[in-house]
Amino acid sequence: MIEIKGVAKWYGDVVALSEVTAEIGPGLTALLGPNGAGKSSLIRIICGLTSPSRGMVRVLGRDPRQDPMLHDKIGIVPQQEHLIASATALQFVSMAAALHGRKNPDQAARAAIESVQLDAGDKRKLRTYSKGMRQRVKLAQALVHDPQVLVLDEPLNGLDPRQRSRMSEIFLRLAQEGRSVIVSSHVLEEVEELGSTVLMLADGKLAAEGDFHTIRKMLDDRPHRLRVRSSDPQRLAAALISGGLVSAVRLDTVGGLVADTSRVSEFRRGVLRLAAEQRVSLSEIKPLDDDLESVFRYLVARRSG
Amino acid sequence: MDKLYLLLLRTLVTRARLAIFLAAGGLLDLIAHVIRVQDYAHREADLAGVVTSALVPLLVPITALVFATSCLGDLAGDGTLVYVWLRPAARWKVILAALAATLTVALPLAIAPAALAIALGAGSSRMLGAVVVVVTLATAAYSAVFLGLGLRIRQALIVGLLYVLLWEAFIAGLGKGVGTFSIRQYSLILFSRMAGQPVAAGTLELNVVLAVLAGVIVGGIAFSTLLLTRQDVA
Repeated sequence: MIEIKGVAKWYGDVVALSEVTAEIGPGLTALLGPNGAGKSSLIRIICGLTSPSRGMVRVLGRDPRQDPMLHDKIGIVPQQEHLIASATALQFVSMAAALHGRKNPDQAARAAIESVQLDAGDKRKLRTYSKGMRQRVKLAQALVHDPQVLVLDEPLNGLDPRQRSRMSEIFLRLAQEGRSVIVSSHVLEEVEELGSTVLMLADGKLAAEGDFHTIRKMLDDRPHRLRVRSSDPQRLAAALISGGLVSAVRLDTVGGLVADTSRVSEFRRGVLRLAAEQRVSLSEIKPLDDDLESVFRYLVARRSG
Repeated sequence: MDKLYLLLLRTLVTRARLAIFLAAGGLLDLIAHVIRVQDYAHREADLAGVVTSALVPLLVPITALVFATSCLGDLAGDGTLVYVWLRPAARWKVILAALAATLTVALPLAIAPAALAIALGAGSSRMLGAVVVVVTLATAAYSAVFLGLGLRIRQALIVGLLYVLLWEAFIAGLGKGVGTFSIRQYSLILFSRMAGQPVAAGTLELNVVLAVLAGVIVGGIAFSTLLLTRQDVA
């Protein structure tokens, strides 16, 4: 459905995307990456909201920037929260339906609003809506013309767990209907919940792609760095080396050791066993590079080299 | 496009904007009333002076500026333009809807005080007719130009004010050559011809003046359509 070939985007000296190539088919695809990774830029290019500086994107075989009629096949939930504050949900969604040439815009708007579990008869202005309700209004205006491609930029951001779960259910339903649904997120757990195909972006580059389990395995298999505090770090370090559980180890200045390992689960079990055997008491085992940013950086480095 | 028109209209009408322009229009009417109270021989000429020194060079372009730049400019600024842009609708239709919304608000705010000023100043019906036509055409011409400005420039109001106050109200009045590129100059010539008041120099035929103002409106719509088509949408 969507073909992305060698796409780069820069704003002055800032490179937002660099040589991204991917294909996105029907079903749910998650665009995962930290803030500033280039997700929103890629989404804007896919929807034709901006041109790529280099490369090309085709949606259903057509250029989204040059072909406004293609917009009838695309729905977007943008990241920004603003809506037309002085309108009601029905007026706002109905305007979208009318611009898509629906014969009965009000009827189409009512159906779309109700499909996201909101009240189409609500007379309140959008400015009074909560964040979760606004997200659903944004989704309703994206669905009102029954698009084949639905693109959602951080749609779960700021929602409470109940709202997140409700939105995720809607995304899955839409994907099961045969649409191509692209959901961007910077939270690994959100993507895990969706259980989708994943495109992982970092520093404007495609860091990894595959189903979620492949990505999860990649993340687990990467080298990990952990700090272990104990009553006798030197003795424990020697035991870890002879036990083959670490690729490198060094003592730090605050009574601990820093270990590098690519088998983190095995390491966690092994260090407990070795400490007991050596009669060393453990006070802390702490990952030092488990934040998502460093995971993404690792994947980018791995892919490019 | 009627739903887009109505939605844009809703975003344009704010209490603050209405209050400012009603106050400005009221001031114009007060001046006209003073002219009538004084009741002297050159009243008609003095009323024409109000039109040419306050209405055409200030109230009309500033009213058009405020509403036209914010009509699509506010949407571009707060990121809601995407809800209009990513639709399979011809761009010129969107611009026409925006222009219609702008004129729906701006025209009454410019015409009503102008017509009231002529009535309060006991101006002739010929002058009243001239004012209505000139304000309508000038407001449409300025609005068509300022729609695109609002789309492209973040500080459109400031840039537009500089244009109105420096170029239109000052530089364009310095010579015949630069006046050729001024909506104000054509508006004044039109008023001069229609009201029979010698307030603007120029030998242009009425048809030519009307054609130029119509050309500005069509050109402004075309240019704004081009800008909207090429717009990078946030």
